[in-house]
Amino acid sequence: MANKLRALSFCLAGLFSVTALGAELDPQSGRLSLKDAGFSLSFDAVPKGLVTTVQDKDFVDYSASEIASLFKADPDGLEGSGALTMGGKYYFVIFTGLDSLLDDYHDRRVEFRIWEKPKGTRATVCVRWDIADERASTLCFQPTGRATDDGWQELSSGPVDLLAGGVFAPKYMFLMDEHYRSGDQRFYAGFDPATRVLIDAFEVVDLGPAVVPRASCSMVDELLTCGDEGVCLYGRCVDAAMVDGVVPRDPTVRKDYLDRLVFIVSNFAGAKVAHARIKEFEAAIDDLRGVTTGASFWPTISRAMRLLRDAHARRMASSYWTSEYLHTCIHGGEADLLPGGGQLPMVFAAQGSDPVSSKLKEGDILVSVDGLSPYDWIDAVARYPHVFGDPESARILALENLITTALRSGATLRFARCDKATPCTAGEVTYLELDLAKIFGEPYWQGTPPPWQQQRKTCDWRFRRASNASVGYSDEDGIRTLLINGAYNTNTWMDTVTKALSPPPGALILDQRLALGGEILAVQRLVSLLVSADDLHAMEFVPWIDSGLDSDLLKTLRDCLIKKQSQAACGYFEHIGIGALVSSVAEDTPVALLNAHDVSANDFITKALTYRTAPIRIFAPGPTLGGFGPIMQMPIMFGEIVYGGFQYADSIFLASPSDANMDLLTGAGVKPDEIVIQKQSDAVQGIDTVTVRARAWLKGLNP
Amino acid sequence: MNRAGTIPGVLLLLLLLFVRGCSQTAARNDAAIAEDATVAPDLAPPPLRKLVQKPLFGQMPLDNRVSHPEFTIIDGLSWFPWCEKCHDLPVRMFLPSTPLGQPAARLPTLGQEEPFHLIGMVKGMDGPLEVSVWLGRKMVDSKTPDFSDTEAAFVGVFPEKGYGEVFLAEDGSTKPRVLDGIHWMRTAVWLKEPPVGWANLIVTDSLGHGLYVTSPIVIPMPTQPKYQQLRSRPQRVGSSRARALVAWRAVRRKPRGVPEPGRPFDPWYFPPGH
Repeated sequence: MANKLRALSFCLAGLFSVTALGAELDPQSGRLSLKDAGFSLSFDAVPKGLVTTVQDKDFVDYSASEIASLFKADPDGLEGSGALTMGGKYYFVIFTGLDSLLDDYHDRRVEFRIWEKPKGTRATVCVRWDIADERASTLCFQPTGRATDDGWQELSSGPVDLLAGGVFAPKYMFLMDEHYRSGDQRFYAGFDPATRVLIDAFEVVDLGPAVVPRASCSMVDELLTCGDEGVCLYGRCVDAAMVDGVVPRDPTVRKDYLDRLVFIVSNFAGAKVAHARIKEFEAAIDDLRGVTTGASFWPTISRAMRLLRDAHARRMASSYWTSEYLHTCIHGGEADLLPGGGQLPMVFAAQGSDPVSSKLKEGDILVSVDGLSPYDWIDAVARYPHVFGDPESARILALENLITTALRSGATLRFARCDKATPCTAGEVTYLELDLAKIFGEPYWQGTPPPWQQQRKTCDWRFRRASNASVGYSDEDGIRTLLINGAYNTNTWMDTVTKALSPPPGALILDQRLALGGEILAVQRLVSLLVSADDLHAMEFVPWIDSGLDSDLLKTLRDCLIKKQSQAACGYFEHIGIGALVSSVAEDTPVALLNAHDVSANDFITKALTYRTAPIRIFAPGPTLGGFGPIMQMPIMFGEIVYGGFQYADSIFLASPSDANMDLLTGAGVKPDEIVIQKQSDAVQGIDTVTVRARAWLKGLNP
Repeated sequence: MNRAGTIPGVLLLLLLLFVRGCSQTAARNDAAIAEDATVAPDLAPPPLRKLVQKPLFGQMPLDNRVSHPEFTIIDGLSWFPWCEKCHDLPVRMFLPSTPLGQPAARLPTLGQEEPFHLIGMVKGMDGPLEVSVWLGRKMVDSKTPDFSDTEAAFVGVFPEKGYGEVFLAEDGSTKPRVLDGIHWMRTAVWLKEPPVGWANLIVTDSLGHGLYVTSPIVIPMPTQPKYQQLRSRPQRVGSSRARALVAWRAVRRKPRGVPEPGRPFDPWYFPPGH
């Protein structure tokens, strides 16, 4: 009954919501008419005024004659006398020079619309804005809900001001076989060169004057300065659709999207902490239901996902603006050389030639952003890209994204410098003010950006490294330092870790301050080397069970896994035994564990090491993020090109086979035994504060 | 099957008028609901096409407990394809029309006879539920294709019983549909006591002859539907299915190259010179 009523409701909705916006069907011919469109492409032949490129799956160009053959006469076409046939072996179609044909729309708000008819595949259609011949924004079209009864469906960019930042028009329109995203890129799905999709009736609908002000801005004032449809980017208001993507504006499409999103999170999330916060999540999503403007939709979903406290949760988006990066790394530091002292963002590395990094030095303290204290500025930026997970840890780690966000905002940064290793008086402190809107924003929007850093530099929490490899070890003064950037089930990782601990060193620093997560088999290997099976029996992934977890159910799941040897057959329950594969050769070695940004595999390692009988001490600025569980990706529901995700199970630890513990861990990180923050006084001398403290502790055990 | 008996008379009349108009409009629309259908070859195109509203998820109920019912991400977790000796892969298909207006997965036609399995994650729940999926095969010489070499099973951990398998059977109360040369058959099963945690819907093409799959749907259903002409299918590939489930675990334990969630997917390769 529910299904039937639902089908009926769509029919009823269809009667009233098929609107006149965009081209309409001619009632006499049943064909779409573009005669009122300002700019359109009928695809009856290769479009004039554009460069048309068609490529196969391996990016090899087709000849002009073969391209021409794809624009076929089609008596059943939607519009005009023909349509473009693409997809399958005709994988990519690129139209270059769109900007040269849209001069009349420079001050206008427009909507790009196009129709497709699947014949085995679909097209992902996007327009692209470039700045100085570099990709800036990629905006992909989404279904409007309009379709025809013979299988054509309409896609749209949604309303968008034509010029990015009031300056640049889109140069390219791309169409690519949907299998590029859903199949080929995923290793488990194939591609059929014979599939096709028909494309017809591209039009640019003039919606009136542009609505996003051509104004300078910062992220703090963007709501007031840039309005409901704009956001601040590199110091200038730009259309939000170019940054975060198309918003589902059709009421039916929007409702279905939000309803399905809430259902998925409410029912598929695997973390107990997420289920405890579902009401908050739903309330945040409900705030979106009546919103029809562009600036708040995707950021609100991101904030809602963050409420789940799942460190593996990720927001999704249907567009993105290519990020630019400075080669400056900022993390939390102790400003012990400044008169006021306190914990403030500190420069850990400034190694680039860009105009910001080249002016900064290790140990410089960021004292204000746009005149606000750094944390006040973070709190004032509604779109700040926060880290998800344990809020105490996420607060500390928020600083990781400060420099990139400040760059995107066009913020003014003020740094304080003390050029000696002893505390400075107020008169000895020098200040450096960097106006990122002036340094980067102005030349960017003039089309002459400074040399860009489009490759993101990984910002290491380690002030100094014992190894430059992502997994490696070295010895100094009788102490071995094993450095890992996450835990990965590769031969190199497994071999390096095993060699580092066999035979066991006398004392060990395990430095995982740049923790990139990883795989549970690698965790199992490392933990088994360091922890006796008498101290820790196992870690287990436990699916969320609506009726609640109890000992009988847990026993049923365990028995199933023993019998079937399949996690998939047994509710996606998994048992990771300690000591099953390797002996705990280093179980007696004292371990100083150095943490900073620790999630997932590094959460597991940290928690497991707390079970050691032998000495273990955790040094960190705060807890781990509490990401205890495996991840699943959200389905693509509205053409998202940034995929969302979350944990599909939680985890428990068992000290022994008889341990009845059922505490699900996700959301609360492992706290350090000793809170350690890099000191400014050490930084100016090139000393890693955390390592010094760890060495002192290990030395104290064996003087 | 009259399910509209509780709707007051006048409203019912209005609704029926709309439904009649809608179903006529939707006769060639993939949004048409299954109950409207009869086994018949494709209709000729209507003389004039009409605009219709296309729901974002076709006719799929939004409370569907299948994690990726539109096969948008076949990543080895949400959907795990497996056969023992072949290296063929399923293809996500956007067909002009399917029974519920959703994308389909096409299992490959293999060069040899062996089972091909497609395993999908489904979230269990507390109360009774219905599991259904549409299976399709190309019509050849206007003949109804044979589905006797196909299986659809719902497997998972049942409270107190442990691991269990339940098999879907042809739903005789829903007429098969022929759309664009593909004969579609709905299979379904109702469970009073469903599995806990995550379960799996496993569709198997036991001889590798090729199979279309669309609209895997698992929804709460308090009372058992009155299926007609239910035909249970013998379990043919139990041992192969068991190996597929074990393989799932092995694959999950291997290194993966799948991008982490949240990392932007580069929407295209952009060749030099453009």
